[in-house]
Amino acid sequence: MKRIITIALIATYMVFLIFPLYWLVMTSFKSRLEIIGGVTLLPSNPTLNNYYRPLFIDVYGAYIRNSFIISIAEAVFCLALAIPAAYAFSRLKFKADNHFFFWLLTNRMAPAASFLIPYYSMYVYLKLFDTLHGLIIINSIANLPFTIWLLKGFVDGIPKDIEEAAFIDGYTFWQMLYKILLPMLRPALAVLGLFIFVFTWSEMLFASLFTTSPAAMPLSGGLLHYLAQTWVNWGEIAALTIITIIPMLVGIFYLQKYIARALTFGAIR
Amino acid sequence: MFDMSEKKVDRRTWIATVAAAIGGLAVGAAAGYFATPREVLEKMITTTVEKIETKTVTVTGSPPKPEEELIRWWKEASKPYSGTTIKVLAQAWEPNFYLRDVVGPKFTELTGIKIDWELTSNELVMEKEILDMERGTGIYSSTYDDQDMVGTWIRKGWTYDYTKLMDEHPELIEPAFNPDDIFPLPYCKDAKGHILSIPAEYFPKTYIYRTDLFESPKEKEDFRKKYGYELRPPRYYDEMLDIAEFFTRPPDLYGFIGADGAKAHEALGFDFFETWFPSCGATGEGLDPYPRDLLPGWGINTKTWSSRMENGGALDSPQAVRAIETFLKWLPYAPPGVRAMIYVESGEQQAAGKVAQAITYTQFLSTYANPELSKIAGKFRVTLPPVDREYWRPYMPIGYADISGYTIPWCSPHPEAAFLWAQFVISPLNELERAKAINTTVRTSVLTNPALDPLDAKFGGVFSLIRDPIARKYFVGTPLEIGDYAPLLYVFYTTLAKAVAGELTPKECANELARAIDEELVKLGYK
Amino acid sequence: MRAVNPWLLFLPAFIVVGFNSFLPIVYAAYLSTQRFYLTGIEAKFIGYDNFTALMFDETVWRSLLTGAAFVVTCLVIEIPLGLVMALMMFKESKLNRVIRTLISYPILMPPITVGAVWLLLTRPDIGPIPNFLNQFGIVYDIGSNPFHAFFTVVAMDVWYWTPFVILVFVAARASISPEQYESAMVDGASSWHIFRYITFPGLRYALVVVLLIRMIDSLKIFDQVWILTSEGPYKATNFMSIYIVKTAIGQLNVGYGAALSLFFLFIIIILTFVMLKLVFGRRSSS
Repeated sequence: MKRIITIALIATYMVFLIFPLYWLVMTSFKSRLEIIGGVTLLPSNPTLNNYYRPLFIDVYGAYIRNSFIISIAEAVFCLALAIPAAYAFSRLKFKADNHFFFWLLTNRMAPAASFLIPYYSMYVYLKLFDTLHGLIIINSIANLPFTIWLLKGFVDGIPKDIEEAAFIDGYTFWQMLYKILLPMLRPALAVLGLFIFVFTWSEMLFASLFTTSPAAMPLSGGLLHYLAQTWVNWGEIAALTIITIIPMLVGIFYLQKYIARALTFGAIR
Repeated sequence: MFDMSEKKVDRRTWIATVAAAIGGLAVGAAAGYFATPREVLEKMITTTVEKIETKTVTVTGSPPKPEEELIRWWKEASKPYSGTTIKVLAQAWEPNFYLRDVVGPKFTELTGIKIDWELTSNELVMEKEILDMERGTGIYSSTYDDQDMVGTWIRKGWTYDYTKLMDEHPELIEPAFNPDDIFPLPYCKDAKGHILSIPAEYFPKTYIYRTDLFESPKEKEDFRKKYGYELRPPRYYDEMLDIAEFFTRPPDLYGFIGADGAKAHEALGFDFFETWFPSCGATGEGLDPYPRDLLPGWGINTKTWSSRMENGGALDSPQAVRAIETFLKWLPYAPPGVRAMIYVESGEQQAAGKVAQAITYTQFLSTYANPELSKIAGKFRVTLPPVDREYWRPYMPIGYADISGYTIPWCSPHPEAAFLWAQFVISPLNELERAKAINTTVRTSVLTNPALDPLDAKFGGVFSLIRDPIARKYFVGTPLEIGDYAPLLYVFYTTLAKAVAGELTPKECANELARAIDEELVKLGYK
Repeated sequence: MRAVNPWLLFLPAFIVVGFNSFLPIVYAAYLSTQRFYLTGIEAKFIGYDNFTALMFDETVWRSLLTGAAFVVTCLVIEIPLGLVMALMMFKESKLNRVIRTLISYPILMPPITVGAVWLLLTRPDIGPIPNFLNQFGIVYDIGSNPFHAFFTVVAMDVWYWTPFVILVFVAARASISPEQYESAMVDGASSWHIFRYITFPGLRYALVVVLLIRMIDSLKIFDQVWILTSEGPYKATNFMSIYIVKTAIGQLNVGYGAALSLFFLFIIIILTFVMLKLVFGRRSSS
């Protein structure tokens, strides 16, 4: 009996959870007329046009390339800066270190949408506007604090004796960091890198306002343009949404175990 | 002496006009007893506006230059700019897709000037170009603007003055560029007569109805039985509401939808400026952009910069109240969810064949006419929108024409190339083909071209509607005197949304609107 | 070992984050002292008038209240639901692992996409949900009914974030040592007693974490709502972030918008600080 209730509850919740995805997939195979005509559970006349046009006729190929470049570069950039910083916060004491650590978190929490105008002026002035590296830098305001916070937790978990031993063996600090510590952090780096990739891939606000040309605009920004277009084609939006979330659906298999830890900034392990 | 005689002539014309107007009214009123209201109205329009029309410059296109000559000119004139790339920011919809896909490549081939397009939503176009101009970033060489935004730009000189540009570079003026031929141009000039934007489109906001329903003998019969008069495109809002009630047959068919739905969104503001205030007489008389006391659609007096009746404004007038009431009256006959819709969804409802009649942006007609995208292809017709029976008078605007064009931001990196592009869009080399594809043109010579006749029926008769210079007069654009479009629009739509939601009665809403607009005008430094 | 200066290690990250953090705030602080519309009127210094206006702006307080109501409603639904689900699927079995992977897909979707999907689902004319409810004579209209608009946003948030709550509780539940349960079973404790005295205390820390993080995130919700209902009928979903963007970018009132942003940032920082003290207090002082 209890088992049946359990299964029924989980099943109900799963329907609630999966239905939007189902609807999205169905919509992507419907023609424009069918979508605005009313509600049909299955496409009456399945078509692939919604995928074909945005991908092969429009500029979305370039957007996908930009998204890959930005997301990968962002992951590398954030990890490179975060490794030494996380080590400093984990192992060393310095003045006001707790305050700085807190300050990092406030940046992750700040409502970025509210500061668009200041950002715009800055980025235009510094010629970072509409460039790939500009997007990488601006995305790191949320991603870098995130990486440092989590990485510190991972470094905390490594016994100090190993470093001591390395120093006794005559390693310099940097040698120790890259030859001893880094290999031990490899799984953590992979997970964090994937998270940064996913976050950057889905960031839309800066992506849409701070880029203008196919040379720099990532897919998420392009999707917003599509969505806000005057004569909305929901089928193509659904198709593009599916294309946008595919990398994430792949990532889930690897990240699922770490989502709780990542989104609580390491409070839950 | 000369002065005197000239005055006399002036006065005579004036008297003649007034006499004609009175005569027209009398004839119209008399005819009203016998004729159908629609004919009366049309007669009124013809008799009164003809006089205005004859006073303006007669519109005759200069004989079109032979095409080869023009092509040679383009190749020659653009030489110094060949190889540059201009970045163009524009709204993402069919007319601009056409420019990107057809006209743009042709331009690049002829002139060697490349175009880097950025097509995005109306809101993002606004945000991006405002940020660009305000900061002087210089990203965009040319931007596509609804001319109501241009008013905001000119207040601080954020756009290039085309008239000045033409004086400096006479060699860049296309030989076929004839200001008299480009009929929306008066709405793209400031009060001093300087051209600030070269129009690329003229899309009146018309009434649209389903011919399959309106011409069905059974429907006609039923309608006559129920209401006691013929079913036909309405002249007045009370008739429109009857028809709306008649055709409301959920869930497949509804009676009416406004062009912008009823969502608490900027579009609610547009709809009132463009349709409901003018057609209910809230924005006064006068069909020319300058000089007018009241800003068309906005009900703000430009002498006193106030919207209250006591200062010559009109936003708390009975006419404005009537406009809000009329808007509320059709909501029950609209498809469900109209309060969550803006122009996009309203257009979808029309294309899906869910409404019998609507007010529509004619930008959408090429979509409606495409059987792959719409269920009403070949089954719709457009005509003049209805007006309020009590408050609308001849000489008052009926509706709105969306006149969008290319402006050049002051910080544009390539103003000359952008000027060439703006002219090329409407060059006789493209204009006819463009009119055929996306049902718009800004040239009288093209509009009257018999080659468009076969397409007229496809686009619901929109060409024959705007070929009539008199009917065209009744679709007014927004004059460029309106600065600060965005902050004022915000006040408009948030206040009107309260009436739509039922928080305020129409009367309270009108009073509140006048009060809030006056307050905002003071804040913006108009007084 | 102490040869390395901790500042040297932190400096690159500090520069990058600081660049993105201090400059905009300083600039926003400057803007907030101006009467400044982006429409070409000269900016004018008006001191702290923007902040005074803010204190008397009814919409500010209304949107903060809306935000508070939203946060409370979301938490009241998400936390019990997440807790129940987590207790059902925390055991390490193949099926549970598959289910847990499946349920985590919303979390990784971009917020704007979430808004678009929910708009597609709930549009009164073509959405399946209103059409389904219509079969039973229920009129569901997010455009005209403020409660429908508000609860649609709540449903969207529940859909989006309950998986996260579940995963946190699953992680926390898995870390309670099985011995405690075994000894309780031996003592013959009722299942309520087991929950009350073993499970719940074991999850208390996770509960605080989830509460605070979800509170801050729901308070600054923006993208999804912007697409779905924007400010909504009767301003039912006019959250603070929506109001700020409407002011600064819709109305082009940049000076007042900056004042609102700073005020909102101040609230968020206080909440973050509380979270830090409650959640990370022990760790960061160690």
